[in-house]
Amino acid sequence: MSLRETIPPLLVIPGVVYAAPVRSPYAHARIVGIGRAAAAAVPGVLAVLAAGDLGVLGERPFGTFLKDQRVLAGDKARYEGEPVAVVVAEDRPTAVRAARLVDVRYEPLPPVVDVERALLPTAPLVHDTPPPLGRQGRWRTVPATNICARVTLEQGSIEQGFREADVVLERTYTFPRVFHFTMEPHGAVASATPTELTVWTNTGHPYQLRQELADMFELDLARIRVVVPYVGGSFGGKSFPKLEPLAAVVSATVGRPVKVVNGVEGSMRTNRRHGARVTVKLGARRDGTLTAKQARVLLDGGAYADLGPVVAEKTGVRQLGPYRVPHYSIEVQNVYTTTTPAGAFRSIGGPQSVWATESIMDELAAALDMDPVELRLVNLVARGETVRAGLRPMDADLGDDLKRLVKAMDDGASPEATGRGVAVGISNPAELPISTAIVRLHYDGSVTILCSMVEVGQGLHTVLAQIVAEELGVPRAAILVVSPDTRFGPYDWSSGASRGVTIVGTAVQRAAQDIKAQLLALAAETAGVPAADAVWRDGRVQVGGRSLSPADVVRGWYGRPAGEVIGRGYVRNLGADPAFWEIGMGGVEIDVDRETGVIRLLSYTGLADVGRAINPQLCEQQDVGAVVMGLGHTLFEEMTYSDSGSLLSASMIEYRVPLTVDLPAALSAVLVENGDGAGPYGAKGMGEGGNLAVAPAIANAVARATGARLRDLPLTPERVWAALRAAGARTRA
Amino acid sequence: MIELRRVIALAAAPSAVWRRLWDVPRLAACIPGCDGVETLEAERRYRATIRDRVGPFRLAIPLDVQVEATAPIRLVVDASGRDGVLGSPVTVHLTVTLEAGAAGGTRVALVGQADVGGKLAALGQGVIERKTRETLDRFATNLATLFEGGDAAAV
Repeated sequence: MSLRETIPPLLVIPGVVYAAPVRSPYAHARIVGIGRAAAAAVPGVLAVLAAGDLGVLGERPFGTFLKDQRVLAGDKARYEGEPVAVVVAEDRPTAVRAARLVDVRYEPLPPVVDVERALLPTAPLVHDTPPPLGRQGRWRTVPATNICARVTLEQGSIEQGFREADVVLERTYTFPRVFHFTMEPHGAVASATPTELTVWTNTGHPYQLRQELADMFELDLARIRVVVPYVGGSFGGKSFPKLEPLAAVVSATVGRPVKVVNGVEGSMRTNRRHGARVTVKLGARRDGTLTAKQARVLLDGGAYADLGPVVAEKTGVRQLGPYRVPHYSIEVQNVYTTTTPAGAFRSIGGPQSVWATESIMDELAAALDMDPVELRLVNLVARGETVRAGLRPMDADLGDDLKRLVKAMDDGASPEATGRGVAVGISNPAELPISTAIVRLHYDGSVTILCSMVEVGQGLHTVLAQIVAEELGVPRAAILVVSPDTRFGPYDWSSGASRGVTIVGTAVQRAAQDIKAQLLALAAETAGVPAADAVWRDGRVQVGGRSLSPADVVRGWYGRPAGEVIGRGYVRNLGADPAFWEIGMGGVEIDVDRETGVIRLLSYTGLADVGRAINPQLCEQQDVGAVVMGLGHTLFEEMTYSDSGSLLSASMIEYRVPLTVDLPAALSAVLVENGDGAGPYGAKGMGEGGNLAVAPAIANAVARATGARLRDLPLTPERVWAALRAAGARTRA
Repeated sequence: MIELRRVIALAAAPSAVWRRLWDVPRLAACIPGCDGVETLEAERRYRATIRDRVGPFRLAIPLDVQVEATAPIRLVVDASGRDGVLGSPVTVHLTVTLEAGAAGGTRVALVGQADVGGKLAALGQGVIERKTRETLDRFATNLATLFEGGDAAAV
C-alpha cells in the first residue's frame, strides 16, 4: 500500500485526472509572471493553471473563520510551499514532472518568520487588506498589522493581585511549530458539474467543508456531496478545508474529475500546530495561594488564519490552568507570519499553554521551597468551582485525581530515577455540541448507524456500536457504522475537540432510544393493546404475554420479512459550555546523562478523568498515544525555518518523531471513572488530554534532577547539555 | 542564512590585487563550478552559471550578479538565482575588502551571507552549510593561487 495513494482507498473514479501543485520556493514573493509553455508541451498534460485561469472561482476566498485563502496564490505567495499554479495531467507522474517545468517568475518580498518581529511597526504585512469574516468567524484581524486575532481575558485587578503576593515570578517559555505527521497525507478527489459537486476526501470535517464549498460554488447544501472513507489519522490536520477547494475548482475548470494528493512534504507545507511564545507572571502568598496571573501569548499562526482565531480564544482559557486565580489578565495574539499555515492540532492551544502554566508552577514551588504536588493541591479548583465565570463549573475531583496519579507513580517507582515531575492539564473542549444521528433497525435484527463524525483511528465506530448494542440488546457484530457521506448521512459539527463519545455518542444513544420507543408503540399496535402495555426488558419487548426481539417487532408490524425502523437522535447542547472538562495529568521519572544531555525516560504515568470508560482499552491506548505524541514536541520535533522562511525540516529524515526506542521503559494510563460526565453512561471525552502534561512534567523532572530549568522546547540533548553547564556554573559561582 | 567569513593574506600590494580582481575570466575560474561569466555591464552586472552536485541532485544555478565597487578597497557582490531542477532560490551577498597587509602585501577579507531556500533547503541544513563552506574554501584557495601566480583551475 502506498502512502500517497490510499486516499480515497480503492476508489476508482472514471475519467479522473491528476493535479500537481507548483509550490512557491519563496516565503514571501510577488508573482510576476507564469511561463506555461514548457509544462504544457509535455505529452499527457491537459492544462497548466494559475489563479487567473480559474475565473471567479480563483478569486473567491475561503476560510471557516476568516476568508483569507484562495485555492492558488494570486498576486503573491505568503509561505514557502504555497501552491501558485497547478499542472493537470492524465497520470500523476506526468503532472508532477511537468509541474517542475512551470516557470514562475517572482519578485521576492521580505519574509516574516518570527512572531515578535511580525509585530514590529516596520514589519511587512502578510495580508495587505483585512480579510472578511468566515461563516463561523467572530474575531477580526487588526488592520495594518499582522495580528490575525487578539483575545483578552480579565478578572479582578491584576495590580491588586500582585500587591497581595509575597512572591512574583515572570518567565518566558517557547513552544515549537510542529507537524501532525499522520500516517496518511492529505488527499481529495473532486467531480464538479454546473449543478452538483462531489468530493471524496480524507477530511475530518465533512459538514464544515460542505458549507465552504457551497459558498465557493454558490450551490445549495443539498447539491454538495462530501464522502469520507476511513481516514489514516488527522489529529486536527485534516480539519476544515485543505486540498478540497483546489481539487473542486480545478475539476470545474477542466471538466473532469480531479485528484490531488500530498506526500509527507506536501502535507508539511499544508498545515501545522501553532508555535507559541508565552510570557507568564505569577504571584503567590508565602503559603502557596495564588493571587494573580498575567500572561502574554504570541501564537505563530503562519500565512493563513485557518482555525487560528479559535486557537487564540481557547489558549486564553487554557492559560488559566486548573487553579483558583482571583486576579488575572491574559492576552493572546495569533500572528500572521510567512510560514506554513497553522490550524487545529490535538487540543488547540493546550500543550502550548500547559507547557508554560505547569512549568511556572514548579518554578514557584522551588521559589517557595514547597513540594510541587502540595502547591498544586493548595490551588486546584474543587468540584463545582469555576475556572472562569460563565464556563461549566469543574466536573471532576482534581485533587483526588492528582493524589491517584502520585500513588500510581509511587507504586511503580523506578530505583534508577534521579528526577520526578508532574503536571496537571485541563482543557475546555467540545465546543458547539451539535450532532445528529440516524440508526436503522433492519427486519433481520441488524443495525446501521449513520453519523458524520469521522473515524480517524480514535475508535469512535467501535464505541458507537457498543452504545447501540447496549441500548437495543443487539450483538455488536450485527451493527455496522457507516462512514460519512453528506448525501445520505446526518449533520455533525466536526471531528475534533474530544467530542465524539460525549456528543456524537449522545446523538446515537438518543437515536437508539427513539427506536426503542417506536418498537414499543409498534408492538402494542400489532398486538392490539394500549401502548402502555408494551414494556422494554433485557433487550426485548414484552407485550401481551409474549417476549419479542427487536426484529420480531419489525417483521410483526410490517406483516412480512420487510421494512425497518428508523431512529433519530438530535443534540444541540449538553448544558453549560464546555460539555465537560478534559483532564489530562502526567507524571514522569527520568535520569539525565550529564555527558550528553540525553533525558532517559524511566516511567511515564498518564491520568485521564473520563467519567466512564465505555471501552477501557481504547481509552488507555488513546491516552498513551497522546503521551507518545507529546514526547514529540517535548524532546524531538520542530519545524525549523531559515531566516528567509524556507522550511528546513520538510522530510522524514530532518523531522524527527518519537520512535519505539524513545518510549519510557514503563508507560501506563490511569483512568478515573466517577460516572460524572454529560455523555452516555456518565462518559466524558478524552484523547487529547494525554499530551497536555508531557512537556512540563519532563522539564520539571529535569529541574528536580539537575537544577537546570529549561524553558524552550524541544528539550534536545544539546539544549539540556547547555542548561546543565549553565546551572553548574551558577552552582560553582 | 549561512555566515561567510574568510581572510586571505596575499604577497601582492593592494593596488595590484585590485586590478587583477577585474580580470573577470580568471576570477571566474576561481569560483568552483563556474564555467564562465557573461558581462552585461562592465564593473556592474554579470551573469554566471554555477554547476554542482548537492546530495542526489546535479544542479545548475544561473546567477544574476551585481557588483558595487568602491575603488580601490571594497567590492560588494550580490548574486541571486534559482536552480533549474527544483526552482530553489540561492542568494549570495559578499563584501570583499582589501587592506594593507604585512610586508607590503594585502589582507583580503571576504564577509557575507549565503542563503538557500525552497526544496533545496530541506535537504538538510548540515549538507547545505558544508557545501557552501567548502565552496568558499576552494574559492579562497584558488584566489590565493591566482594572485601568487599559479593557475587557479589546477586547484
